[in-house]
Amino acid sequence: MLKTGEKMSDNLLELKGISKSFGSNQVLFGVNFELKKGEVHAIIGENGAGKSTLMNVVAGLLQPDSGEIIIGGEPVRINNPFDAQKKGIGFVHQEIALCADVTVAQNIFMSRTAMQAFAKPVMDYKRQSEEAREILRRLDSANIDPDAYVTNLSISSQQVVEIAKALSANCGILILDEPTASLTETETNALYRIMRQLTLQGIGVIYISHRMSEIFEHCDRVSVLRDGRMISRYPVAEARLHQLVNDMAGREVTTIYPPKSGKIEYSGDNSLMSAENLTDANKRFTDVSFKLYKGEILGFSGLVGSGRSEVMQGIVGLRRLKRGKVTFDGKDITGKLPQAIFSNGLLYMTEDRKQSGLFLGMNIANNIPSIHLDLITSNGVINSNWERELALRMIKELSVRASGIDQDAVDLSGGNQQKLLIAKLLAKKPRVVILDEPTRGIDVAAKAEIHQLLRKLAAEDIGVIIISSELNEITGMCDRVAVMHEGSLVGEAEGGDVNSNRIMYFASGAFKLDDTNARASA
Amino acid sequence: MDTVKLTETGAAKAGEVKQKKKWKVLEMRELNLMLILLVIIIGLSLTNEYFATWANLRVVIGSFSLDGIAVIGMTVILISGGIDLSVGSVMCLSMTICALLIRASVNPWLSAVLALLGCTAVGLAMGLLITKIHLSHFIVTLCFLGIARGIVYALTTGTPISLVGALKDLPSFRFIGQGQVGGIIPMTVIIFLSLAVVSEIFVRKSSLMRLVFYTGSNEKAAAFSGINVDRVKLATCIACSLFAGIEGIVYVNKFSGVPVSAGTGLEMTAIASAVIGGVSMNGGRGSVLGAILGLALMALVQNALTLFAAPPFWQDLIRYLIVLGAVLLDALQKNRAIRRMA
Repeated sequence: MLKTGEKMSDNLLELKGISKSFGSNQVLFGVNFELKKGEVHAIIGENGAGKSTLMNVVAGLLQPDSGEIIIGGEPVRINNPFDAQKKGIGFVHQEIALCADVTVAQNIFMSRTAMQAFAKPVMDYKRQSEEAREILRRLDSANIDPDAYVTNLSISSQQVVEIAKALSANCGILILDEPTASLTETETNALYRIMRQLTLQGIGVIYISHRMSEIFEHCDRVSVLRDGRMISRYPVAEARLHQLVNDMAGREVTTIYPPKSGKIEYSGDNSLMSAENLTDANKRFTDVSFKLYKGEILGFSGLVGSGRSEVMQGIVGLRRLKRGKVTFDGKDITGKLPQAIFSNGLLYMTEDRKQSGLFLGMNIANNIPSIHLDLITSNGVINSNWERELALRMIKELSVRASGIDQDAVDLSGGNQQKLLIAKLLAKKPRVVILDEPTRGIDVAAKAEIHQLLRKLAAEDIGVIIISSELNEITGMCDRVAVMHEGSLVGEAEGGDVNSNRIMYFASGAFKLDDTNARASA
Repeated sequence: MDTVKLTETGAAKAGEVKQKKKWKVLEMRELNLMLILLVIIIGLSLTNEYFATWANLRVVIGSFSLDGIAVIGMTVILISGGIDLSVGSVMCLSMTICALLIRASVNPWLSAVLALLGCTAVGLAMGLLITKIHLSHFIVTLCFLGIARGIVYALTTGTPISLVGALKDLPSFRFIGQGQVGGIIPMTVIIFLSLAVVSEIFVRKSSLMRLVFYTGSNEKAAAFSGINVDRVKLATCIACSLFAGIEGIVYVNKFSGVPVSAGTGLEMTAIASAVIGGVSMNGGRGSVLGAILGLALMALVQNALTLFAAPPFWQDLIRYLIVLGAVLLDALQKNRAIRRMA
């Protein structure tokens, strides 16, 4: 299968025939993989394809049922994460897992401190912070103070600290699991620079991602995993986008975004909802006004922290407004409780399915009716048959992949959790849905399914608002886009004007520079 | 270079699930507990001739029925993600208010209602501190553990109140704590069982209780689903104090008075029972049935220690080692299940 001309010693890591089952459920089937010195090797695949399981095997969190792990030509056993670290494997998980209330240096050397707790009972904080400074310099991030508290750092700096932590134990193999999921564009670019720097030092990087553009621009090779099997492997230079997508999905995915509506009537009596001069009690947004029309998908774009989510939370009563007026269905709903607004059919879906979206410890059937308990209740008594019927109907409608409606939400993959979150929203036919990052961190196929669904909702005259940090999603999905910058609505684009240049122009604040130039020249 | 094409496979069909059991009546934990209880009961009846006598069982069931009332309230507040350390003191406060009013010749039923109102006020105060000032359940209820007990001492100057004389003239009120239905079944058992059955149905089937489960499972998600979590938490605080208060009313009747140390350690019994019975300390999971089975285990162990004349100073040690053992057993089993499935 593999060309044998390559020298063994080039391979930092080799996996041969790795299989893994959980009970009767086999998730990895004889997976082969290799990582060379100084390369960035991407692993892509849908949620639930087995990427995390495979990486957990490499990181010593799981033991394979069969197969070999070869590091530097030697077959090894990786018993636990500690072991993995000793063998030079660094793992940066998707979610940042740092101790927020201790310093950067202390986080970076956490495992070393643990290892030497008895040998060196007295901490040398000064030396530690010097060494941390050195590692951060290697990462081109000398601007991060090793003595700063992690809680005061931006997300991107925290990510750098995570990488520094992985590198602290002299790692030769670095696993990055969707490192850009929570980063902005600039932060992402900084991360790529760091990645390149590391590969020049001979470190091999395993890069797990959902974003195709990242694969093409920043990786050397790409392996596709589907349903626990390694489907294909390409040098990126020879890979084709459609081929990769097909390998991942196992079927032809033709159009990436469903066609837009194109016949929306922007007139007063066609409006579903309007917001006038909304101003937050905590100053996160000021004087935001907009209207939503029947049949359209309205996008809210802007950088993270520009106040997009906060405006929407203000509209549905989850945040206190200082002033402003929200009209929905011809009625003033300003200041009403979320419960009342939701039951009228104006719904908001959070961007964070784990923190504020799902009841992870509860099963699918119990999760779905949480907004509309009245659907399964008569006279205050829950009818568990109705509850089961509703759950079965919803998971069929949204193609949620689960072992059954008694499965706990926590055991679902990311994409299916996201679908479950949407199922909560659609349990009762809504009139306006506001979706905050509806496809964050989920695979291509699930994404496409959600996009189709949203377009279908719009076609049924349900008003749809999408907040998204992915420009592609905004330009691909939305009939009209509103752009926020530092708490104000600063730009709009409609129809043919919906393109990433125009949106970035507003979102990045570039329009301000133009304004000052114009004023200066006047 | 190496462009390899490996195997194809059919993806699992989405949205298609097996229709499994309708709905579970008993959780694994409840079944386990029932088996353990059965083993203990059989073991005790074989090894101790006094155990299976009515006189002994009545004592066991009697004390069990009293504490069981507080356990119900504790279960509810634990499911909401909270905890209440004040139940013992609040129970004693309820006894004290009721007894003092009766001694002042207030109608006994009215006294009981006023005592319950007092407990409601305590629950309300705790709930407001928790929801409006955002103090933790632990701190607030710990303070009220002392405050409620402090009020009892202040009202009684630390001397026990006897109602032996007063209750003699109040046969209908006395019936709550001392009466027997059909000459055998103690009224306390009937009160407890009816409260337990109603609460269990409420916990399982009511939409109000579902709100409590949502809040306990993920408070933020509950708020984002439009649930008024503050109101839910406030209600559970009041409910827990109220159940403690009801236990107090029955207690004051049964013992015809108030020992001012009554209810000391009740919070430990209630929390331990609930946890043994599978109520999650993190909220979102649990049942009244489980918690009551947990309490039954505690009561049987206590009875066994008494029957076998275990040295009194060893009893706490033995009892809580058994509690730990029960929780451990369950955790081990759960871990095994997780390894099997996940």
